[in-house]
Formats: sequence, structure tokens, C-alpha cells
Amino acid sequence: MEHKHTVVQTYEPDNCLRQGYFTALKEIFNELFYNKWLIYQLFKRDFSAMYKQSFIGFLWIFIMPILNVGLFAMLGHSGIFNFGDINVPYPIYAILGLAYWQIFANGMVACGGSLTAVGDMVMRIKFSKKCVVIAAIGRGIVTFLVQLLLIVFLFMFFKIMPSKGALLMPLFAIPIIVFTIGLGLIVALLNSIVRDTGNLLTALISFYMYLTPILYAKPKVGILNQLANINPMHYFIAAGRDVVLTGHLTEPGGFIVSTIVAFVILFFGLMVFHLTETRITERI
Amino acid sequence: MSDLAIKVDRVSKKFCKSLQKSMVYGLTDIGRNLCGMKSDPHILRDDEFWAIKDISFEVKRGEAFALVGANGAGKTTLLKMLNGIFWPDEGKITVKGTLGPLIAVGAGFHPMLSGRDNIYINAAILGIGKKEIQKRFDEIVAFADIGKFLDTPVKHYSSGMFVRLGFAVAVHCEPEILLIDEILSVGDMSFQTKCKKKMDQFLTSGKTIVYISHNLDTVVNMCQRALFIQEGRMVYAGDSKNVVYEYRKSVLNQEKRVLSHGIRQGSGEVVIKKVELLDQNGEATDTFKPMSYLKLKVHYDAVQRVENPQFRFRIFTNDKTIIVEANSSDHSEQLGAIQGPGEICYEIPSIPFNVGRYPFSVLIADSTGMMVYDAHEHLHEFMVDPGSDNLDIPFRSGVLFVPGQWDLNSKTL
Repeated sequence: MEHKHTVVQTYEPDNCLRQGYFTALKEIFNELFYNKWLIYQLFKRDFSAMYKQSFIGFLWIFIMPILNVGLFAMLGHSGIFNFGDINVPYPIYAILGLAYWQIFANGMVACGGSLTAVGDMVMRIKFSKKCVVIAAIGRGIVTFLVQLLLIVFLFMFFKIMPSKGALLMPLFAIPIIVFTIGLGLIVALLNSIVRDTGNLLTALISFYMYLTPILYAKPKVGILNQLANINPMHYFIAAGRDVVLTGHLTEPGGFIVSTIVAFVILFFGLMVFHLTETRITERI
Repeated sequence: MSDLAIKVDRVSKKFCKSLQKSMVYGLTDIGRNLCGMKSDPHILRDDEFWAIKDISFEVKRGEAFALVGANGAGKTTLLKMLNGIFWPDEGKITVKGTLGPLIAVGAGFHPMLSGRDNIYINAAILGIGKKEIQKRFDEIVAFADIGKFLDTPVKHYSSGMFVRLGFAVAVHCEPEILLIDEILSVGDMSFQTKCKKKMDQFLTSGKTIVYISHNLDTVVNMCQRALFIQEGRMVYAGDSKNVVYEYRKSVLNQEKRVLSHGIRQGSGEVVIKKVELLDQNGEATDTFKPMSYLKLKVHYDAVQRVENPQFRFRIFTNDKTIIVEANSSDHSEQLGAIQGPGEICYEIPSIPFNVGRYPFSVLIADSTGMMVYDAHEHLHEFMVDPGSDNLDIPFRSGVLFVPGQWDLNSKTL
């Protein structure tokens, strides 16, 4: 018989306390590895349903950044807003920054709301809840990849040659993805218990966007400069932009430290989520 | 535990009635766990209650096990705990083998996506990979019988199609233990038969089923053992026949509590003092076996002298349809005048009643039947119950119990 392969599951109260961090980590990786297909399916479910009842579908991916950048270009042109010292055409600078930023912004909103969005499913089937949160980042990644087309178009339009480093652009999205999933796991967990988390998050993210030098250059002095110095998202976006525009990073130290921070946050997020996910269902 | 599929050991689960407090408790528990502290789950906090308390049972491999109980008794919660959706607050659950939950069929279906997409997604959620599902895809479509609607968004499916697809995916994932929560009642007849067949196949191949159903006949026929729970507590566990019997008895007893809204009225010339039911040994009782002897004894007191009164005895069903009416004036002899205390009896040699609770009325009226001296309308009732030693009498619907026999030799080819 197939007794050897029989899975034995045990449910006990507080059983997360009985295992060490190492066991937990191993469990997490096994779970994610085993559920690759599930993550892909959940992503597909989310993504293909998104534009199902829509006429222009994918075009929405281009419309949002163009509107945003257009608004700022107008503000800058009429002297209301000062971009700072930017030596490439503003649309290229801004849309590059936004492409990276939206991985974080969309990702946080999607990951944070992912568990509550499938609350019904969580109540009725047991499946890996981490996968739901992780799959939610997918939409942001696809949007990022599609926006690359927009960026290529802009370079052609302004007749500028990007640096060779531009090919590494997708690589520079990885720390942002890691950072977002890490935070997203914790936000999703909290949001499934206290719904205020989601609303608070939406408010905080637009606030955070204006604090991060995306639509303007990093100021040389002042409070915004100081905040940018301790802002991991600034380093991720600046590095990602540098690699496309000039090919070498202006602040490599900050980028490396921020990347390490991102991975620590992912580890922390996975751990917290893993140890407490058994409590989600009854509170969702 | 080698031949056990499921072992539930003194398991309890608490829920919170207040949403606000639920949030606070959730955060507190998470906080405590992260600090490495226990969450003291065995203590009930304000507004918490035990949805499941101290339940233990074991299910053997290859066995069909049923959970019976009224709505809200905690059956589904228990099933969800077996699936690992809810985590116990006390006790321990061990499950050996892969689970196929049919707690809510089609959970996880996305209404905007087609049946085809949803098969893949649902299978993935149930833990089935790409290759396996591709292999079984045609079988699933055939079983669900959705044919030309395969590429239609499931939001346009009829509820029957939806359930069929959900059931088809779940059973074709070939779990070792199937958890079924009352789904057979949703589909049409042909689908129900199909499901039943699939479940039988499942059992003969040595797999395990935990089953919730309000169809007690199916429970007795399909399941060897069962558990009766009430308000989250175990009432009775064991052989499914006994469990169903206990459950049915408790339902009847509850009806008694709710039912006795009898009326007493009359002009009072003759008063009914006491109404008794006696069995063949002359013992007072209110429970009779089908086809047994029943004797009604009415103690009365005629405060005034009355001529030729009539006594009327009526037995009703629960919805107050009269099953039997007996009237003393039907007797060939006249009763004559009565005065002072006395008693009168009515005998039924064999009550042809099915299992159930039967309210009855006793009435004393004048000779014309127009003037009622005293009436106990629906004030009393008796129960018909085969007793725990007669469980081989199958439960069938209907008011009457007729001891008919099938002649199986009479079939013609």
C-alpha cells in the first residue's frame, strides 16, 4: 500500500510554539516550493479576471502613469512645482521612477488586501495562504514589464540612447519585490483581523510616494533629503533609474544596505505569517 | 494508530460573538505567540463561547463516518477543523492521508472565469499539479456534465452545474479522506445518484469518508459509525443505527417541549381530572412500540348529574391532522346518567403508528355533542418508538406503520 507516502497532519493549539525557527523556515520553503503551481494559478486567476469586463483592458497599464506624469509635467512647466536637477527629459525620468514605484504601491495594496479578498475561500478550503499574498505581487510585476514598452517608446521619441545597463533593469526590481512581499505578508495578516489596516495603508502609500524622490530629483538639503537618505524605496528606485540612464549607481552603499533590509523584512514577514496564520480563518 | 485515518482527541473550539472583541483577541493571541508566550486558549474570554467542546472520536481507514445533529450543533465547524481550516483551542487532531474537502463545493471558483480556468485553479487550490489535472481533465468535464459550457464564465452557470463542477474537481483529485458536508441535497436526482455511486466506489477502494447529512436513511445505509453532537457537545457515538436512533429520539423530545400549547375549555358540569395511557401490563406510560396495545383511561368528576354524555378521543399528527377519532356514543349501548367521580377507558389492541410524537385530545360533551363540559385539546401526547432493541425496523416516512411484507419470490422475469 502507499502507507509510506501518507501525509500525517496534526493540529494542536499553539503548535507554532513547539517548533524552532529553523524548522519553521524549512516548512515555509517546502510549502512555497510545493505550491509553485498554485501561486501561478492564483496569479492567473487574479490577473485574467481583472480585465475581463473591460473594453480597453491592458491599456489601463499605460494610462495611469501617463496621466500622473502629464500632470507633473504641467505643474513643472508652469513653475508651480520644481523638479530639481534632472538632466534627462522629464517624462523618461518620471515614468522610469513610477514603473519601479508601482511594483511597491500596487503590490502593497494587492498583497495587503489579498487575504480579505479571498476570505470566502479561506473559510472553506485549506490551502497555503502565503501563496495568496505572494501571488498578489504578480500584477505589479506584469504592469512593470508592460511599462518597459512605454519606456522604450519614450527613449525612441526623445531620440536618446539608454546605457547598456538598461538590460539589467528587471534585475533591479527584485529588491523591491522582496521588500513588498515581506511587508505585504504582515499587512495582509493584520488586515485580515483589523480592516482599518487596509484603509490606513492606502492613505500612507500616496503620502509615501511624495516623500520618495520619484517625480522630482532628490533634493541636496532639507528634510526631504534627510528622509530620502533613510528611505529604502529611494535607493531601489534611484539605483534602478541610474542603471538605465547612466549605467553606474550614484549611491551603491545605500542600495546594498536597503537590499539587505528588504531580505530581512521578507524573512521576518514569512516567519510572522507562518507562526500566526492558523489564527486568520476565524477572524477574517 | 496504523489503521486510523482520523483521530480527534478531546478537541474544543471557541468563537467570539462580538466582532470588535474578536479583533482585539486576534491581535493579542498573535502578539503573545510572537513573543513566544502561550495564548491560553482554554480560557473563555468575555463574549466567547465553546462552539465545539471536548469532542473525541476516531475514524478508521476505509470507513464511512457520519456526523449528525441539528443545525448549529457544530457539525460543519468540526468538519472544518478536520480539514485544518479552523485550529483547535484544546485537544489534538491527527489526520493521516490527503484530504478532499467538500465543505463548500466550488469555493474558490472565480465567477468571471470560465469553467476550464476554474478547474485548473480549483485543483491547484486542492493541491493538484498541472500534469495530474491535465490527465483527469476530460474525466472531470464528463462527470460534471457541463459540456458546451466549459468556456462560459461560471457566473452564468446554474447552481446545479456549479455544484457538479465543484464536486467533480474535488473527487477527481483522488484524496484519501473525503469530507462531505451535505452536498447531495443540492444536485438533481441523476447527479445525486452519480455522487452516491462515486462515494461507494471511493469506499470500496479503501478510502475514508466523513459525512454530514440530514438524510438519516443515507447515514444508516452508508456509514458504519456516527457521532451525534448537540450544541458542540458529544451526545452519543457508536454504531450509526444507534446514533440515528438517539438523534431521532432527542428531536422528538424537543418537539414535546415546543408543542404543548394545548387548550382547556368547557362549561364545567363534568371535569376531566386525569388522563392516563396504559400499556398491556396496565402500566402508565407515554411511549409505545409500533403495533402495541394502548389503553386510554379518563378520570372524570361529574359535578352535576348529566344524562348520556359523550367522551371523545382524538389523535393528531404534529400538523394537527386528525388520524383517529373515537366517540363513546358510537357504542351500541347508552352510557346513561353520571354523577360524581368515575373513569372511562378506550382500548386500541394494536396502534398502527410510525415512529413519532402524537398529540391527542379528550373531550366530554352533552348527548348532542353541542355543549362541551370539559375539553383537553392537544393537552397530551404519546410517543411511538420501536425502542433501542428494535433498530432493525427501518425508519420510513408516513404516519402509519403497516406490517406489510414484500414477496420477493413473486417477481416475474
